[in-house]
Amino acid sequence: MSRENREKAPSQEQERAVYEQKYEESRKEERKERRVGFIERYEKEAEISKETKKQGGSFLEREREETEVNYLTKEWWGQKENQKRIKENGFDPENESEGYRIRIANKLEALEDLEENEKYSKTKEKINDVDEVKSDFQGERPSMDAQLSTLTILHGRMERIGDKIQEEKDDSKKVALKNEFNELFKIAKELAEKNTGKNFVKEGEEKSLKEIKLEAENDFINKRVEDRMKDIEEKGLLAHFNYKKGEMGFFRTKIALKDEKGNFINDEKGKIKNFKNLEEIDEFLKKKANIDVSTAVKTEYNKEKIDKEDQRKNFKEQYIKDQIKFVAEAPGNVIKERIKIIKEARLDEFIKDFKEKEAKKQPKESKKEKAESKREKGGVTDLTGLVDVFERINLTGKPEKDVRNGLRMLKKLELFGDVDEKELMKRWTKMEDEGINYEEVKNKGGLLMLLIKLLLGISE
Amino acid sequence: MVNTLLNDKSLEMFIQKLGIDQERKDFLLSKLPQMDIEDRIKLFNTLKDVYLLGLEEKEMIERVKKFSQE
Repeated sequence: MSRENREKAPSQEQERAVYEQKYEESRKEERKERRVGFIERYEKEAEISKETKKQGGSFLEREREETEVNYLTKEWWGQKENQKRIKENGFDPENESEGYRIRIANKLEALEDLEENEKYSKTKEKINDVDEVKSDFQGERPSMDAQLSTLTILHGRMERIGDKIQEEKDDSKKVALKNEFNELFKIAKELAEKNTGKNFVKEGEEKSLKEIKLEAENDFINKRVEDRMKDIEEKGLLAHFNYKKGEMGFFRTKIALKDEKGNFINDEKGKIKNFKNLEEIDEFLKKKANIDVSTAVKTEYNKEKIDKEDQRKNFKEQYIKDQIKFVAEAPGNVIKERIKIIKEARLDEFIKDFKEKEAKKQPKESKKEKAESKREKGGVTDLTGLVDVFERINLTGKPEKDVRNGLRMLKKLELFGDVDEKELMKRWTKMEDEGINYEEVKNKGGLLMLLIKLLLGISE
Repeated sequence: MVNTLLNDKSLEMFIQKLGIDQERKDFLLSKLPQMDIEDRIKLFNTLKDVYLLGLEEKEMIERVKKFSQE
């Protein structure tokens, strides 16, 4: 680009503002048009895509193209089931025009979205008296968060129905409530299984929704992390957290701190690149991560009154390092935030139930329980001890050995008085016979849960 | 007799260990003496879930870090 053209070109800040505005508008449009007309929307998107291509393409457009590519491959087009779908929807599978195929692919994708939405709308109708449904559940393909909320809501509702069943004396009303309960269970199970591709309840097995919900949540999180890591591995993508908008995005280049000297990895082609100077890094950040260091630091120079050249250089270097570090740590932040939400939701669920129960309780009963609990003795180290055991234990991957080792360690530490290993192993064998899936307990967390179950089971 | 895992002191230690925010922590600690066995089992399971989620978080971040540093 000539010097003259460079001067005429919009600044990075302006470009970024335009980009963010476009992104925001496209999101708004997307929400609106999902409800209005899929075909028009995709035609419009094709236009935008064409236009963006001319300008080199934004990462969002490239992402979108990538999702469309499957539909356009000969392999996809040639598959019998897809040919059938194309025909069923009134399109011509023989037409090889690229434009035609893009449109058909978009329509088919939109139809799939529509089907998904209809299915989830039905789920929503079932729970429409529960006001906790998140607003993002409406109109759009529900996010994982929304699906998890739905599971939580369904679970809460089922528990309430369960209470009603216990209280209800009229048999016909009891049957109606049981039917409702079963229906909700079915919906929740399908929802959990559909989104994880996992069969949570095997034939002949009985499982509470709470258990399914916990498993599903873990699966969702694991899947999300696995997908993210797959992206990083395969495409050199790194999740980037847009701090201004609080949204996630992806960049095409993996950026990470290489060493303490500040050499970075440019993983665009899987090769390591050491930057020669700050300017090069600056350019790289602008191009790849949309981080405009020059503009940002200039503002800071003025604000902080940094006018000496060497101070400015240090400041800029630190700023770049902070930005890189921020980008590199972003996935961890997202995980932390997500898990924090789930943890709080779990505690709130308990607190809510407890408050409801407490409101119903007679004051007399509370006094009695208070007196009982005051009589309890010992156990200060019991639980932390159990956690210590768990943290120390080395897993062999052999179920029986791991359970036995866990129990022996408990016995050795005398945390639970007289631990009857024989009896507990018998119980473990029984659990195995009942079909406990060791895949679920072969990690440390699973083993801890199992030991707790065994210990609680014994004294109950 | 209440299982040692479920008595006030054990549960209190568990609550303290988990790094729960102050508001929720205060509520749980203040209500502990009033909780019956059923509440205690529920609370124990909730705390256990929270603890395991914390461990998962650590593992996941480790895995992500490993990838982003390679």
